[in-house]
Amino acid sequence: MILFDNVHYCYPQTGREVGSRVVVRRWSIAAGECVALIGASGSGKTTLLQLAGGILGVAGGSIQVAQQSLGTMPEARRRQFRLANIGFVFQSFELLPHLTVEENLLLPIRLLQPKRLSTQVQSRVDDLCENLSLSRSIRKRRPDRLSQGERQRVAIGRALVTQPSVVLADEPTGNLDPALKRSVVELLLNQCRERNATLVMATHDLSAIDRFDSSHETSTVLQWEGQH
Amino acid sequence: MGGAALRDVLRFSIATVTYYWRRSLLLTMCVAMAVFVPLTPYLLVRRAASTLEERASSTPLMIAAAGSKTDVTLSALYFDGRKHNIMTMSEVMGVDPRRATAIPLHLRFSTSGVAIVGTTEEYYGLRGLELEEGTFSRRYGDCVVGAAVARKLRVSPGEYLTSDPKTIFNLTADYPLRIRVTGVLSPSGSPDDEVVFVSMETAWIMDGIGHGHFQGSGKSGRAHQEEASHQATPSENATEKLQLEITNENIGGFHFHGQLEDYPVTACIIVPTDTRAGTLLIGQYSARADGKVMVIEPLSVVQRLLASVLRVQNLVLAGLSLVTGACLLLVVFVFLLTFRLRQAEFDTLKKIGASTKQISGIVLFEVGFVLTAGATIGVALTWSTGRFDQLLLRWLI
Repeated sequence: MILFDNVHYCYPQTGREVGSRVVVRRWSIAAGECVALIGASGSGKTTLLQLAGGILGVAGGSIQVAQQSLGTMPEARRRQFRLANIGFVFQSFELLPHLTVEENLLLPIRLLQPKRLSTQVQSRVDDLCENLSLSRSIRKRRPDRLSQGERQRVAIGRALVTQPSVVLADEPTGNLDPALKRSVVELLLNQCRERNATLVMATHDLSAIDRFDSSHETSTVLQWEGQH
Repeated sequence: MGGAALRDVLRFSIATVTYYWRRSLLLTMCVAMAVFVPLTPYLLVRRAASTLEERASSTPLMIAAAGSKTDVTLSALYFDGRKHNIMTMSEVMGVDPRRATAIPLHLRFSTSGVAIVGTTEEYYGLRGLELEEGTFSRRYGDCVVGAAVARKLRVSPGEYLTSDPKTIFNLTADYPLRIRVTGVLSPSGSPDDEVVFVSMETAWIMDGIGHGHFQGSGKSGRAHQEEASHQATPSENATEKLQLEITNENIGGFHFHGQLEDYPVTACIIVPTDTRAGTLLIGQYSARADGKVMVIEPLSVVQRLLASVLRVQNLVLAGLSLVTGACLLLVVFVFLLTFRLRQAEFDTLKKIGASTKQISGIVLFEVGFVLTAGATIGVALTWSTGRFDQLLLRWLI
């Protein structure tokens, strides 16, 4: 599960402007729950996801993810925890252009355990690719030779490859056409439900929220302090 | 970082280098040029200088007619074709054999543009020259050719070469001599590979000092040839008619006019029996009042010559080092710029969970890969151009 308790975060100061500050009094998501995080652009969706993923450090309060307190965790441990327990799907896919699909998929595993891939891992990757309809020929290609839908499937695969307990998706359908949007959301939901992973998907598209277990509005989750 | 981690980082870096192959290639070639451009002239000049010094140091002393010591040294040691005043054989004969061995050199003629060097057998011993095939000259009109000449002119023992005419318009000048190749020298990596050696007598025959009388005709070789040329029609290959050739049949009729003491010699290599004898010889020739002959220490002449070359080289190298520095700065700048452009890539890695150490490793391996590949190519190019040091040597002298 994910639990935010009186979390304070300060945006970095830019030039002479004092950084804004956000506070999350209490926000919880149950284990295995699929949640849509809704809000307009700039409402703090990405900040919430990055706090939950341990990418951003908190100024106060505590964040618990999968029974671990991220707030008190040192940066190196947080990074390791993130690699092992949290999968990220980004809006613009953020696949590394010089790696093949397979190398992109395996990237979190290689960063987490830089040793020879076990046959167990290899077969898990094969299964994942099959579920995501990534054929052998696609796996050898580089991202620039893939369609938008294929790219997003690879990005989802990369998020799921370490079998994380939490998947955080930051507007993964933002760059896709309407037909593709629905299939990507379905895919993400199905994959997370199959693995009993908690999914938090930030979106400002309301058309697919009925497929989620619940939806949270950023305006109800966090409060802004200072300039925003 | 463990072995597997290193392998992963290396694999990642290689993937990046190959993906951005145009940039990688450009930077690799920049680094290669930065290595190649200053290193090549430096090494070539050093090798050429060492070859020049080596030959000069194996030639203890020389005497020649008064004039430019540099010209005589370059002409007698490296056969560069410079003209120089001639001295007479009397100077060679005047060297006390108890103090030194005198090796005369006659450098006036050529064949197909290749210098013909008249000398004695002691020269082969001094230079450590050995035959690859055939024998040394056995009679007048024989020659042995350097390894490079044999290749260039495609001659082997038993074949003939013809000395180049000094002038093609003056019919009264010395006629070309057909000389028989009796041997080919083993490659020595020295200027001896690129010349034709004949005996002093053969060289003097080319000079017109020695000539032969054909049995039965009662005419001298030259007269006979002149007659032949008058009889021949212009269409009947006039050049061939105006040649002398020494054969087993006519060799008995060859003889020399004048006194041996007066025969021309370009220079004389002197190999003193010991240091003391050498010092005495230098003193003896330096003290000569007539000033007709000068004594030369080839090593000091070459070192003086090289000092100027090295000064110029240092200047050029300083300039090239600046260019290299600028080139490397440009490489660093391009790297920094591309890393900036790839910031999103690094951010993604960070967000997924890569450590700063892992990202730095990827970047360092990438830079290291390009630098190593560039340096290797630069060194390989330098090494391959090392083969041209003989060309540079010829250009230098």
